[in-house]
Amino acid sequence: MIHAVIVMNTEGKLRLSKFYNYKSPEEQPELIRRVYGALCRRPENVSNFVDSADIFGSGTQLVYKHYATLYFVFVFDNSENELAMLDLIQVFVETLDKCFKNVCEVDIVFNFNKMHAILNEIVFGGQVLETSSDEVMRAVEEITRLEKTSTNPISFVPKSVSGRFGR
Amino acid sequence: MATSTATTSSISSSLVDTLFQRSLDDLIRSLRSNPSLEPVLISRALAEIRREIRSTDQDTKSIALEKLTYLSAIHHVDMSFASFHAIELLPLTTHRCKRVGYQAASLSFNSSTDVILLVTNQIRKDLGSPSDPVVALALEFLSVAATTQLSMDLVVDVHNLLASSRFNVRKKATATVLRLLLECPDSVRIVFKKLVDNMECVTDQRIVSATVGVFCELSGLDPSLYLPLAPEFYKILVDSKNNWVLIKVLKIFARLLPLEPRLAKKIVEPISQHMRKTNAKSLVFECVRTVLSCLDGYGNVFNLALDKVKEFFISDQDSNLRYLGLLALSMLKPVYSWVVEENQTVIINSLDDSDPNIQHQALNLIMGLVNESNVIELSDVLVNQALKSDPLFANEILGALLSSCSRNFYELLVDFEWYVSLLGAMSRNPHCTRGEEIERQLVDIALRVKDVQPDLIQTARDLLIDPALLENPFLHRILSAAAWISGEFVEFSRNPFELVEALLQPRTNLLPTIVRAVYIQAVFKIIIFCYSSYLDKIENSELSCQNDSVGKDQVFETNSMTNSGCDDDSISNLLKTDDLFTYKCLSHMLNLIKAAVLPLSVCDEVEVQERARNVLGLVHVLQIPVPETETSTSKDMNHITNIVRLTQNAFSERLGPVPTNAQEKVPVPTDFELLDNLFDIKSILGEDDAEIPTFSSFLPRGWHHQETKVEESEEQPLESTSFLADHRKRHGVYYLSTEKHETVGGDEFPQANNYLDASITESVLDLTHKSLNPSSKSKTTKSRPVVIKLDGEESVLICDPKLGKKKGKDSLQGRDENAASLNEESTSVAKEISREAGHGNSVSRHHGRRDKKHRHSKHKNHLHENDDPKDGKHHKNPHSRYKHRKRDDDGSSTGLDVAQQSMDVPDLLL
Repeated sequence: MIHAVIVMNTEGKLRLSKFYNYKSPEEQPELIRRVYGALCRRPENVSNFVDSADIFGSGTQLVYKHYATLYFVFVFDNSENELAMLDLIQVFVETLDKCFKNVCEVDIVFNFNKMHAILNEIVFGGQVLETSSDEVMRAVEEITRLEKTSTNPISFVPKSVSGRFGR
Repeated sequence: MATSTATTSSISSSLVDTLFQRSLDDLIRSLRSNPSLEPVLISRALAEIRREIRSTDQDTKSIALEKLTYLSAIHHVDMSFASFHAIELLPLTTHRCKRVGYQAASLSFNSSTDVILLVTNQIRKDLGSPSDPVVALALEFLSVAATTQLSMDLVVDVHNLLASSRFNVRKKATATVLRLLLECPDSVRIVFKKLVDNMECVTDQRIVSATVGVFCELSGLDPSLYLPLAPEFYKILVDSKNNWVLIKVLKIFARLLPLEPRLAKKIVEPISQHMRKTNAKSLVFECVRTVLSCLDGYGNVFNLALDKVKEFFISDQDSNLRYLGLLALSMLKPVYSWVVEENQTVIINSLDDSDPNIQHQALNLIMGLVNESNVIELSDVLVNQALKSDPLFANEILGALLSSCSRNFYELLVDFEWYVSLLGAMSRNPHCTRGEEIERQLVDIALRVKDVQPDLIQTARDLLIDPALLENPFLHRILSAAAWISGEFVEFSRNPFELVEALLQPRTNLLPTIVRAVYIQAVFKIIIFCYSSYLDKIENSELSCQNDSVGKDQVFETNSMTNSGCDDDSISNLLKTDDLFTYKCLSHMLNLIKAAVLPLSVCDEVEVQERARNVLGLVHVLQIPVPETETSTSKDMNHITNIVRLTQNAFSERLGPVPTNAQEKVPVPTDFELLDNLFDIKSILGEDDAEIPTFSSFLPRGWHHQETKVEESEEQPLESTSFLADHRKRHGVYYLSTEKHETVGGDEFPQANNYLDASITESVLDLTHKSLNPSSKSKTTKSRPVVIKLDGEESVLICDPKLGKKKGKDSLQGRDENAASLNEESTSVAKEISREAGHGNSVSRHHGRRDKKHRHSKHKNHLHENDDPKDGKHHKNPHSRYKHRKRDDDGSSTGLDVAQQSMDVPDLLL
């Protein structure tokens, strides 16, 4: 199964994390830091697999892909195929690209909920459920529609006001 | 009244919160605006959230929880305090609030969350919702956070969804079932039938995919339970067009095959079909993995898989495929090492790859290939590779080599001379950080393998004499071992004076004090050896008139000529070696020692100080002028002779390996009275009294040193500069020269990195040729020296199928017999030793004083045995040591040799 999905930037800042086995808030930063430590050492144009037995337990490895300023990382065990996981990263990134029209790091930073919604359609409870980005888009759009139709009683407060006072 | 005010104020504050609440976007923006203040901003936001989350307004609450979820997911803030608030949001009808509640819950809930029991009914309700996204939320929560109790309570509800006509819900329910089954295995009876039905779902492949995924996970826990489903899996394997499903089914079969070998015959055909037809590398790789690990008995499909692996290798662009190709080879059972050998060139080339994964995998494969016939060839390739690699991988290589060569008491090694020089070469690798292990092995080999001691001292000399090595702190441990070896086995040294100079060279001040102490102790042993040899010489040649006027440098010259020229004639060799120990040389050495050790006598470190003073005391005693003629034996000479003989006796007793349980094995003699008074010990001490006072001369000198401490420390730098200059003059080879050609042309000593030389490759090729040619092999093979094993140390029995495969081949038979005879011998040695120990022989190193002449003749024996022909080659051609050397002795005489040596094993406590 897939143990974790992590998106972080090339400076090690976390952008998205999902652990399919509970990790406490104390454990998480350490795991992320070690994943980053393993990734940032690797030169360009080398294979995308890293043994993560010392980070996520024996039998696990991680596959990563480096896009612009971001690392996309999937942690998995011996019930998954290495190359299939590599394809899955591709599916995930393609879907993000379709959703955000040329996805960049800022999109991922500001769309925390949407990111999770997309990921939940592709990987569910550590299992790969969907590999077609069109299907994922359809499901995510349905959720967005559903959330928009539910009326917000305080929507009369302009966004700009709340924004200005927030700073 | 007061309460109403409080209510009003709380309402108004919540209204303010509602009106001016920051959204998640605002929070993210503020965090991004000032990254340096992040911790402050987070704690401020957290305080804000704690207030907002108590609001009665569901939107305020949900936004607060959303922000908290974000902070928890990205900034690892603990959100367990908000568990109940998350549950409060679940029943709300607005999808947004419900989603925030579920998201928070699935992120933060775990088995230690106590309020988790409160969600059961709400989840049950949501699972029955007509809205797909709502059901999905509930399932998502269960799939990551379900506890055993929740699983038991809700498995029936999830089970109902497995037959849902909404395929999106159905596939998510399938994935959720996995978590429920893992938490509560008993519920398998409830869901099993539906899961099997879903596997045959024809309308939606995604349902099949999800179900097969679940079975794949479950089969990893207990494959035997899913064996009855083999026909269903087989059907999918044949019919499915979906690569994801096929990969999972192959994984399931890989787990079932060991339980039911008859399956193999069935699935061979579909697998080879898939391998031929598909373009998906992932599926090909999965097929290859299944075949190489489980279906190796089926020639056609096995060969097809190997072809596919080769295709992976060829793909130059994709390092992933090359890596997976190597990974596939490493899955092969050891019986198929010939496959690995076939691809040896590719694998060795992969060591050069820029990809650490590929390098690592290639190294693993090569280490799997190593056996006693190719260990030299492969090790040389690897050590060369380590020189070219980055530090991390270089040390990985060295570590792998060290551990496989030393495995099971060096069972792979026949040629220890080669291995000792390999250890030297490894130490010279600039990246080497394996000092500790190399140190251990050097000392271990010195103690276990007697035959190799002369080579060890050569290696130790080469390491000690090179000032460049002193700079690398990782090598200090190795140098410590080398220093110990140089002191302990100094009698095999061709030039002890050279060793003294190396041990006292100026840059030794870079060493940690503990290693310096070893250095000084080695000097002590060497002085004693030199003097003892000198005295022997005087005794032996009272008639012959020595021309003492020969200068030190000339003596050195004579000596080096001896080594290069008269190799075969060991008697003349010995005579000329004797020339070394002239009075002038000795006094020169003592002066050098005095100059170098004097500053250390006031060292802060007790170990160093103590040993330095021991050495100085000895030097002081020995420096009483010796008459030039050397024929008259004065009283002073007698005095010196006594001291030297006494100390030499103490040092000549060999240290050997001692098992940890040695003490227990000594039987207490029946007539041994432990409680007896030791009143007669005085008379024993009284006998030795005559010798003890000679050392009293240490004390006044010591005091003198302390009084003049300040002066000396001022003098010290001057002294060491002149000392340094002196050293530089004599050993210019090891200093950075002003002229380039000098370093290059330094033909006297091998250069540190001479492994890179092309001639090595040639010699390796030559060697390979020889080892492949059985007729030449019988000539080159020499008998393996005895490796002392103590009976307490059981050698690990490793079933090496490679050996099994090759057994019966003529080249190995001799080796096996040899090993058998060795075993016999070593047991006889052990018996002999234990018998000796049984007699209650005194064993302590300092008490065991053997007859001097016996000892000396033993040394001479060694000089004869350890044929100096090789030593000559060392000087002529630094590479020659990597060649598999011939041993002149024929087998039978070696056997005798071994027997003799085994008798010579020091009486140890065994």
